[in-house]
Amino acid sequence: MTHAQLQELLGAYALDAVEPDESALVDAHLLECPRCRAEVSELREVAGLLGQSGSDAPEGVWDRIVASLNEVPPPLRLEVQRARHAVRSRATAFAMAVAAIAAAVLVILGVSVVNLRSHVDDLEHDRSTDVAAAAQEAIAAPDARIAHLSGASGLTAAAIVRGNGQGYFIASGLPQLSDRIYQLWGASASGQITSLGTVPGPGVYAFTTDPSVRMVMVTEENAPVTAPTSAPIVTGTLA
Amino acid sequence: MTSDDLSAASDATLVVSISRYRQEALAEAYRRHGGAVFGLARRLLGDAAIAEELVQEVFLRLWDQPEKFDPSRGSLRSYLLAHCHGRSVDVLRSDASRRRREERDALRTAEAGYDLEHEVWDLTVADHVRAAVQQLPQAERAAIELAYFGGHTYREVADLLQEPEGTVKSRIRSGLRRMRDSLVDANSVGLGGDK
Repeated sequence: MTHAQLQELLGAYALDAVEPDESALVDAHLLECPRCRAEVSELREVAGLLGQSGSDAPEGVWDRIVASLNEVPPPLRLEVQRARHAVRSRATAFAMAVAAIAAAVLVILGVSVVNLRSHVDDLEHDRSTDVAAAAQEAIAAPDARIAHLSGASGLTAAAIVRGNGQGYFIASGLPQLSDRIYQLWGASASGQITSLGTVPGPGVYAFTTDPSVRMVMVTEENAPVTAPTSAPIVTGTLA
Repeated sequence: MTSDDLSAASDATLVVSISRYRQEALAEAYRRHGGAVFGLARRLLGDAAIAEELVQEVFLRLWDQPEKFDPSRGSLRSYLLAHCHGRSVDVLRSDASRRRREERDALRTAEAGYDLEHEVWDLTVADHVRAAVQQLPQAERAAIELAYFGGHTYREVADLLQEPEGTVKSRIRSGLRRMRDSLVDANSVGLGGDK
């Protein structure tokens, strides 16, 4: 179907008046065409005005809604893993972690040496030696995928996800927040976004995720939320 | 934020509160928009009991997936109505006998023309919408009404009006765009308004 043919369908699409196969074609097109997406929003707004009426909200339905609400937020899937005592000497563990992460970042992500240097410095300040050591092993693992997270803010971070869904978040490039938190999100290929947990500031953290996760992103939030309330400050694709 | 604040909060703020599992925010959204959602479902389905079930479904989805609402893409009400419309059409299309009845009703609707007179929800906006509908060429108006209120696909509308499918498809789009232009001129539609 050409773009012009797809455009011609947008009116009927906005009124749910297309066949399922056409609907699927338009859905796919809208993902990549902001102009058509904007047109559908506009036409839906018009349809919404047509569909408005002065009815009162029906009696009794609210009680049924309340009765069906899932009131308790689902628990965040991971808690930040705090430092336990180091098995190896801290200096050795750090040195290995730094070397491995530095090498992997350099080779796989191709980031500049300046960025690398800041990762190294931050890691040396980190106290989560076990997590740092596990992250180091993960980077070298053959089943690991790595995402270099960046954004318009100029901030950077990295995420590593192993084949079993064990992940590590290297937040060395994020400034410490005083009254807000960072929330880490994973997005699947279909765009489903799941919270991976929250972190207070820079450090190396462990998390678990559905191994099919494709993208990782970070938002700043006032408190843990079930869906992002603002645009991500950094994002990256696992590769 | 207290419940009193919520009654003055924008729809976008309500949805943020809903995403934080604040039940009173959902209650306020329901108070503002539950009637409109119910009105549309009942109009399409012709059955108050099924319409009520649909209202319940629409607001439960807002509770479970508040992130699906993007305030930059339009108002909360039009988002809820779009969901309600899509689900109503699903119900219509899954029920053959209801479908036949609706086809007859829809034809009558098209013949009678769309009467907003007794559906006064906001006098000014209702005036603008009525004017925008009346300014439409009759062929565009009939196609839009059969599709939107009859729950028909454009192909079915083409059958009902005995017009080529391509013509009906174009008329629906051009009619909606024409209405939008006229409503924008009347300031009844913003570019992704908050209310």
